[in-house]
Amino acid sequence: MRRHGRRGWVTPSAAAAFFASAWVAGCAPYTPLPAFDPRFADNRLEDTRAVASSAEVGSGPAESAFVGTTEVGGGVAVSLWDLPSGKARWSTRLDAVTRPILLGDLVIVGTHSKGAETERAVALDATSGRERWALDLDHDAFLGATRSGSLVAVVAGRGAGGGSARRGRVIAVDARTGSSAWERTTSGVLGAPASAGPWIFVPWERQNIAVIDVRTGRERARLRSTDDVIAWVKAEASGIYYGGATLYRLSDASATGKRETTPHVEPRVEGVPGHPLPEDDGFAPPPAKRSARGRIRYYARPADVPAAGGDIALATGHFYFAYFRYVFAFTADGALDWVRILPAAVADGRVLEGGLLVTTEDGTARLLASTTGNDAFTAPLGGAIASANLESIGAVPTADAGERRDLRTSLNEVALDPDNTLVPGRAFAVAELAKLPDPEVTRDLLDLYAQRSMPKGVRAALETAMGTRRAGVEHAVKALERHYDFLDGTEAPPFGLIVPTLVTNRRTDALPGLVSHLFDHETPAEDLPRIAAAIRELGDAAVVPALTAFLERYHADSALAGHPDALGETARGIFTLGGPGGRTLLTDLSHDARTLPDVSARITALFTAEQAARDAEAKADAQARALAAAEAARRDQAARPVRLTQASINAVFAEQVGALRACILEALAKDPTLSKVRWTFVVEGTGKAHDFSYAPNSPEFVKCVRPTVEALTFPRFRATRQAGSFAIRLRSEGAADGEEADAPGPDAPWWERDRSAYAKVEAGGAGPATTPWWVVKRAPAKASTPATATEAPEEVPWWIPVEDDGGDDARATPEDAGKAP
Amino acid sequence: MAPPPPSAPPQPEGHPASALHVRSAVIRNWAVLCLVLLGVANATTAHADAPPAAAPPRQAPPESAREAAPGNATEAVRLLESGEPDSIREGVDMLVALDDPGAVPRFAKLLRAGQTDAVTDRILAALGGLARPTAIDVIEPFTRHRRTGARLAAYRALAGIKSPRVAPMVARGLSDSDRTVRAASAVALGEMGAKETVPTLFRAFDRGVVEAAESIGSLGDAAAVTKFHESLGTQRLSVMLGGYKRFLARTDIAVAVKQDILTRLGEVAGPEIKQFMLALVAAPPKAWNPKLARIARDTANRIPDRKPANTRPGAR
Repeated sequence: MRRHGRRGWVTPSAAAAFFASAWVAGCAPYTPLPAFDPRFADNRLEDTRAVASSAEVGSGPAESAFVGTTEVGGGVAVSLWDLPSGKARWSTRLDAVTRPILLGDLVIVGTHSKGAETERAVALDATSGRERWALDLDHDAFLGATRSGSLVAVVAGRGAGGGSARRGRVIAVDARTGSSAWERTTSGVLGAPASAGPWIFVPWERQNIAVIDVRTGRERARLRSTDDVIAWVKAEASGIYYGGATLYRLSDASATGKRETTPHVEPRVEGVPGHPLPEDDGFAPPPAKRSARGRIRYYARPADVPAAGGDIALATGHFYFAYFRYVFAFTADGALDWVRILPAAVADGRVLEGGLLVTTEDGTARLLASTTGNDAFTAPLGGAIASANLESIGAVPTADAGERRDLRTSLNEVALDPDNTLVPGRAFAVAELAKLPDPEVTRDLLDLYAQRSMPKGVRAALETAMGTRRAGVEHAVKALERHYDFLDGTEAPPFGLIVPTLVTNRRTDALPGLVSHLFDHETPAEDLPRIAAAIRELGDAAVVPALTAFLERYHADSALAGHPDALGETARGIFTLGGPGGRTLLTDLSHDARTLPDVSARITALFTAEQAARDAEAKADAQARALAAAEAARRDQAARPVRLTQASINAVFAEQVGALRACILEALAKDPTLSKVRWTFVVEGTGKAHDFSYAPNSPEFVKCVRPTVEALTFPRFRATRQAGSFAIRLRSEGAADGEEADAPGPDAPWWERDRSAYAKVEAGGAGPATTPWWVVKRAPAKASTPATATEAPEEVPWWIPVEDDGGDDARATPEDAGKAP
Repeated sequence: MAPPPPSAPPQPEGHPASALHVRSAVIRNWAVLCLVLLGVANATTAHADAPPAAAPPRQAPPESAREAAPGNATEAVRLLESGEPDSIREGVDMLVALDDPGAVPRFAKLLRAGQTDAVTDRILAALGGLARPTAIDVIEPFTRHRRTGARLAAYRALAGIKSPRVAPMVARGLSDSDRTVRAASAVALGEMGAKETVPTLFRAFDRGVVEAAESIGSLGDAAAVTKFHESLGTQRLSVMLGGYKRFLARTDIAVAVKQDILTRLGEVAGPEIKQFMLALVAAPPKAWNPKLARIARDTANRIPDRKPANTRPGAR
């Protein structure tokens, strides 16, 4: 282990590393590192701001020509067409593998040399189509190119589609000669570049954008999305845009790397087939030959003028979804505006001010007016095309686009399009049709479903769509009036489509039709279960006779032996709605030896399931009750005192004082000197008391009070048991001793309070509001000097001798309690 | 157990009603014979997919039903209520043999309760054998039975009942999805003489129910002949000849109309027409006259025996 010397632990190399890391970490205003250097800091605000402020795009493309490819005898020819004439200025045959790019006076295209098995980026003269220069890319595929002044930046690489070999290259060459200016290589995958001002924007690893100074090849800024994918970058008149499914505009906020804080718009509609992007994936450029890629795409372009607040507005207020020959136009909020069926698949498109300019594979350029979807401009291109790149087109002349077609009609046409290769697009049209509130749409869906040629995928979409309908369901009810008829050529209605809708909308008026089809032998057997289930769902006891007739008719017949669910659902209907009579019938049928075994099993299963449900419910109830009881017990336990207080014991005795009084009086009669009666006992936590001891414990007294005191129930408490006692002082000890008796508290029993009050009376204070019971009876004198109660003064308790006979104090002390008299 | 149905009151010997009774008994026995044979046919051909429990046993010989005596009505009812398919069928046969007036409601009850394939078909055939109009409402729901054999039995049973309600019901069979049902319905309508169903038969014929041709020939009028001609050239000739043969055999079709038929067929010519004409000449229908015979003969003579050999050079 290295020890630090006296000179200190900061060595020169460590200091250098520290400052270098600090530099990279953002202490320096600008980091002159080569592009794609892993040490380069991303999402630095000052870098992003510097780039965003100096990325001047200009007024956008203003070319009147575009490039593309045609397939010629198994090969590919690159062509340049003029608009609005549609004429091809030139056509050059070469081994193009990518869609060409028009960059000013150059056309760049990727080629593949079959003999040498190498890739090249070939630059053609945009005026003549002749080759100006070519860049050998070795085995790296041409991914794209952009131009900044006199330099062309070509991006090539490998591994974007997977594989262990991953490499990306950016090669800047002189536009006139093709001589290399600089080259940067990274071990990551790169995407097609874009340029603005002195900057080249290169998507990197589907998460970053490296902003490279075209003059030096050094990276000026790096953006990294922390919560989205960056699949492309594009320069438009209103700025630099990037993203995957979402369009982000490059701004200072881009440095946050977060979707929420960066201005963005997402042209997206639920359910569109093919996972389209609003731009071509920059990591896999469109091929030169015909391909599904590019035919399934969103087309959207930010408006030249941003919306208020810096939000991104869409040019024409629409975005467009192309699915081969179908084009759907949506408003910015995702509502379908119009639909158009084109004669051929879309090869490429670009949103212009008047609408969507598309080139179709049949060799036509047309502008679909954003307001109507009709052709506002058309130009024949002189033959079929394989690919096109319309990015260079800024505008085309437009004509009157005519009247907008009814959207419902257009969607029906798409759904009815006989092209079974476009089933997903047709299914999407069905889903959009079902969103329309027009009640007649429900009938449209039924009519579409009735088409025998309707492919399975569209049928499935129709079934789903029909389930969402709430308007026009009367058409579904009416459809039940139709039955199969060989002579009339009519088919049974589409039960798979109708029945769920009827049930969802609780259309009980459909019951007659459903019952009629249940008994119609032409109803497909596979539809019978859902019909029977619908009758059960919508019906009441009135449908039981029909269900019974059906079940009885076929329970022993082989007709539905292969479709036991039909009879099973019928049985379920009787089981649910038929009451006791229905259950008896089902029991009989299940025991009938002629009943089809599968049907019998289904009937038995109904009873079994019900019993199981009942058992489960009972079990659940029992569990709930047990839980509730446990909870109540827990609460009760928690609410109990730990031990009984004397006050609570007193309160229990107080309730029985009436019964005790006679016994006490009797005891006093026998022993006028008795000063106190007392009970000691043990109380269980349950409130039950036992092991009583009595004072006085004369047999008469004990016999008298025992039934009362042993029947006492005390409040429950948490302890297992405790000792308890209760005493009634029959004389005021304090008074007898000439002392002031302790004043009882408010919780003291009446006799304590009254005793205290009486003591006050004795002391000359105010007496109790009512005369206690012991006051009204004078205490008998000793046997030798009997006295009557009437002779006693009103204010003197009866047990206090009025005349002092000079005898001994006969009053019992507490210690005497329990002693035998 | 339900009480036995009342039997027919005895008639004195020599009483006209007695003779009628004997005659009807003979007819009844024949009906039972047909019924049993029909049951055998149905049980052995139409229900190959029936479960083993419903597999029809060997049919009792018709004599067993014929031997059923009125005194066995109680036994028949007991058998019907036994729940055993074999016993039920035996009871059905017995009640039919007895011509029991309470047979229809008993059969209706059985059908309502649901039976195995063979029993259902046997009861339907029995109801057809009884041919009572009261059975129409019992049979009619079975024209919509999911099993083709049951529908066929129902249509056959209906066709045997004399009632104006029956023809529209049988005609509905022409709309059935099953070809055999449509064919049976078409044939039955012809045999029933349901002239009001001719337009429906034409629709069925146009839709490919070839069995309708003969029924049209049996029921159609002169206008129907004209309409029938329209299918000449579009339908198979053998099918058309079946219809024409019926037209030509009828006495209520004018000679001129028949002459027109022969003329049209002569224009079509061909060996099949020649054979048809020769057959007419050899065995003329009842309503025939020399003029028609001559036309048929001349037409047959005009048609060469066979197609000329291929004279193309090099052809073998």
